[in-house]
Amino acid sequence: MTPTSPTPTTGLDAETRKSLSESLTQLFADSTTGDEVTAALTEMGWAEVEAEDTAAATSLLFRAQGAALANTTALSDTMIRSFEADPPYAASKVTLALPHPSDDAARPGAQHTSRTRAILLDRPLTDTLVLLPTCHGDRVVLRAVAAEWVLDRCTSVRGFDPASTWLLLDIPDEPPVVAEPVVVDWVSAIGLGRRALAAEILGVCDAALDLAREHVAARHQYGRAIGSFQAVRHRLSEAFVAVESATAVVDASWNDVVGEGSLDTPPEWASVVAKARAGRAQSEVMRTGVQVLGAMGLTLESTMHRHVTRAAALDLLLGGQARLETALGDALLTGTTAYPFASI
Amino acid sequence: MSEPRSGQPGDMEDFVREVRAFLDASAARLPNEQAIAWGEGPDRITYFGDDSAEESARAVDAARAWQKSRYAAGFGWITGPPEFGGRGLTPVHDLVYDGIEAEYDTPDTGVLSLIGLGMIGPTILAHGTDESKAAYLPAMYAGDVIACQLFSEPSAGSDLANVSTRAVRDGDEWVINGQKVWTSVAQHAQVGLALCRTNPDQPKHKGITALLVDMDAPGVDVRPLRQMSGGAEFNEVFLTDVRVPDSRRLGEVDGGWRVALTTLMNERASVGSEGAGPAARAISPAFLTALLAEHGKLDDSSTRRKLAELAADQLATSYLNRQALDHLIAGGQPGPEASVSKLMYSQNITRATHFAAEVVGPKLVADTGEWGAYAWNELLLSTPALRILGGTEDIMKNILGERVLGLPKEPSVDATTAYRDLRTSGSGA
Repeated sequence: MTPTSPTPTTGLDAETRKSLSESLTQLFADSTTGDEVTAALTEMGWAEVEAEDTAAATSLLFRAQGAALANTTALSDTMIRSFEADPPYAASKVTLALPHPSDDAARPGAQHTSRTRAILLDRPLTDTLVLLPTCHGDRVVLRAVAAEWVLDRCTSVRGFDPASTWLLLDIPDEPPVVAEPVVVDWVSAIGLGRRALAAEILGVCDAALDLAREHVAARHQYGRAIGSFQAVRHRLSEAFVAVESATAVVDASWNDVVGEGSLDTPPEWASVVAKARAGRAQSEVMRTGVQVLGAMGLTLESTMHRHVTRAAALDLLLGGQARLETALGDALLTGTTAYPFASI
Repeated sequence: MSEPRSGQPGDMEDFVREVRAFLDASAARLPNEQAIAWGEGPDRITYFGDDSAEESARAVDAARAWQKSRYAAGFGWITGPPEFGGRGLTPVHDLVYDGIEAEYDTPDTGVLSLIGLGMIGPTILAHGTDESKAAYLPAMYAGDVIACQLFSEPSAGSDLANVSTRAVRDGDEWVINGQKVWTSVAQHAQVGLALCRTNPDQPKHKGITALLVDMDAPGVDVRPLRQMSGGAEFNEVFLTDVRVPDSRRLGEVDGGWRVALTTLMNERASVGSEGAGPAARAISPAFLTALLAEHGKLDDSSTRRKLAELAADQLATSYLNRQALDHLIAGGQPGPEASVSKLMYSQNITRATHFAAEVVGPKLVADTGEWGAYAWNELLLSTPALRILGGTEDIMKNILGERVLGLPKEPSVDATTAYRDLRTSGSGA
């Protein structure tokens, strides 16, 4: 199922996007670890593709990553590339720690000034730096600490998504900063991160829906494929509608708001709507996907469970669906203009 | 084991005294008001549980021991016929016993009762030979024999009549070959009720025979299936040249579908009824209220409204079950209304769990050691199962549509075609 998206007027043309999408699918199929993915993307010259058309590149990369259920540091890498050039940490390899899901992603660390807590997508290499985003007043600064300091203090995020490589840092210590803290445009960075995560969640949905489609076509009960029963077809059609409509919102969210009537629309609005919508789509797709697989969906017989737990875990990064929807509701009630959040 | 005592239906006051005397002597009373003390007690919010093999073996031993005490005191099978170890009393006595036992702290006997005593026992009683009844019923209700249901197969889930496990007659015996799947408690069971294909030339419902298989017999291989929620409560059961005497057949040769229907009607009734255990406690309005208090959400009006909806739905389900029970007490058979109860129950537990998950938020994903937070993940990942097991939601809705609302049946190709000519999974579209 190839998602349809509006062709942008600038940037990568449709043909290039199609070929990139195929290359990425192949890249994820060939790579077994996050490091291999990173190396293959570097070889592909991904940073240049991203610089030419951030919207298309980010959508394609993360959708493919989601479909492959891959564990990589691509989110951290993409967000780091969005910061300004020549930071004090430029000489080292760096990883970005993401705000703890219980924190307001826009104000990391604001609730717990004496605590350090964050999520890392994967184990950082030794002799590298970890960047901890921290809220200082109205600004967010990145504080660089040695990877070793983090490694000594973090634990695996265990349980829910057993295939996850995430690490949890949650300690009552102030980090020993090794480079000058640098102020960044955090609102833009989490906007980018949320769009990337929305695309990744929808990629997980694509793969889950594919599994479900294949199953209902092959599985026969009552002498016919179960996909020929309207109850089953309707469930899957509804799930497809959820994915397609969320895709449309995520694609549109890349277009900046311009013109009259948009002045009071907060800059993070578009990415919040996009990620919340993707979160809603995944809950619908996963509910349906498990149901049509019957008992195979509940046990480890099918790989559906990996999609369920991965999508739920991704939903919580940089603000879960419930939290983002609450924030949107609050904003609407205080007079924020709902439309347009993007110029289409 | 003492002789089961007889009793007359009219002696309810004596019966209650007898029950109290037994329970006072064998179990501790639970505190009168079971207030929820947040943060106290085991941090378990589970439906299936994710116990280790040792923990689960201990729980099975405790269940057997408690069932044995009940049986010795004459409460192991209150409604069963005395010649097979029952007490010969009415379903009202059974209900009264359950009501009183709920006031005491007793081991969970679900591993014996849900499938064995709740579904297989009544099926053996209705369809078994006297020899089978004598061989299995007293031992089952005394807690010595655990029974499982060897029904579902890789190609026969919702379409149960599509079973392909073969049983071939060999003198006074049957020889069984095939595979069963999603079999609860098979790892603990001594006997299994197997649906086997005995005549592939008949339409699928008319060529099935029900046989009681000794789970310790040569050729029976039980392998665990791990669930998304962590534990391994289901199994695959491989049957290779397993021999079963014809005296262990239930019902007629090729008449096994009638036998299966007896089991299935009891299954829907049993999955739909609320029961106790950590899941029932977790979704109770009292526990959810304590959760909201803990998270400072008591004053949120949309949350309060949702909580009220959940409470109302749970009450409605209780009353539905109560009605169904009254119907049984009045001598009725379990009917299609059990489907309503099952749909309501799975909806209640799913909605309540998602409600709690929203309150707990990100703490569901990473274990921070906080009581009553990460523990919800097992129940959250178990709730999809309730929409599948004991008859999927989709099938329940079909039953309601056809048998209660009287809608036309979907045109089917499989009711009249010989089994061997039916398309099954893997044979192409």
